[in-house]
Amino acid sequence: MRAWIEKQRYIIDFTLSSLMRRKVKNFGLLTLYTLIVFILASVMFFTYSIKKEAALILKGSPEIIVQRIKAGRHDLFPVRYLETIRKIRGVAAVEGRLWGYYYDGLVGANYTLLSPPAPEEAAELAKRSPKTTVVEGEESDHHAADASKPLFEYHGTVLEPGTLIIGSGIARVRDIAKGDFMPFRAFDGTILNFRIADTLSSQSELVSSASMRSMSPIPRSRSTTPARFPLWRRKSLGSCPMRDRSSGTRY
Amino acid sequence: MSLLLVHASLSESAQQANLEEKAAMVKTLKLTDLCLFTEARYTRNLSQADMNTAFQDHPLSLEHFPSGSFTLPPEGITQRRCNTNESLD
Repeated sequence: MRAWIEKQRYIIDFTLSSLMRRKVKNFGLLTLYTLIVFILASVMFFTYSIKKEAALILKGSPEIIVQRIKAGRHDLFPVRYLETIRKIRGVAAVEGRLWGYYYDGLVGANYTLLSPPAPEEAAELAKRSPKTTVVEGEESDHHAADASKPLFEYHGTVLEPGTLIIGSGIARVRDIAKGDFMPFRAFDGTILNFRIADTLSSQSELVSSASMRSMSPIPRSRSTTPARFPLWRRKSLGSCPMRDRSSGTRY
Repeated sequence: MSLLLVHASLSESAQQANLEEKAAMVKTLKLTDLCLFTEARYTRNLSQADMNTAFQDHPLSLEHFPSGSFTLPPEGITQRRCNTNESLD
């Protein structure tokens, strides 16, 4: 046993003395390898965590998004197409989405403006909320809610016409907070003042649909839309894009 | 390494609430992607990318957004597009 221990001691002694003979080279190599492993492991951990987080967060995202493409360019989506899509077997629900960009020259930033969810959801929220509001809109406007319903509620904050919810980044840059007013220049040059109903924890903006229509030249028969619809028979219909040759609409 | 594991187990409950809040926002606003890049719309929303938006400025203009060189449209989009075109033809 003692002889075995001595043998191991001599091997360790020889190894250490060999390593110490070229200190700089060996420690340099050790540092280099450590750094390489550290970088690769960090990238792998980071990639995996992003994928994992995306999978958890995006569980509730729409199963299919439909966009209209004309000659390879994104085009506005006619609201009447929603009815056609709704008739496809297996489609559980269809919903248009109104959104766009706004350039704020004051801070040199592009904002994403997104109108609240569909009136069906707003109607459900209205049953729970006693607040009332008036929406100026036509009957054909799917985004305009009934006059007695709030457009949207986020974390207990009811979004009414003339109000918006902003991201925390904008609140910080513009130095504004809940209850302040934020001016926007509409497409016809008029200034629209929106009251800030709340701020989001991440950088997203919400603007009520009626206000969005008054800011942008989008006609009421159009939605900027990805229309989206959850399916209950996903396999039978598939989630692949289909091409309607007559209209050039890409599903 | 063990410190990492300890940190992960300690921060798990705190991060859970954060994740749930984000998931609720995705469900409410019907969001589609993580915003990994902010410059071009086809890299901002990868799942909504087209095959032709990279050439949106000119047929011969090369991709000029740096993020376009880091990422590609999801494989499912290109493969499904090919299969669909074949079946339509």
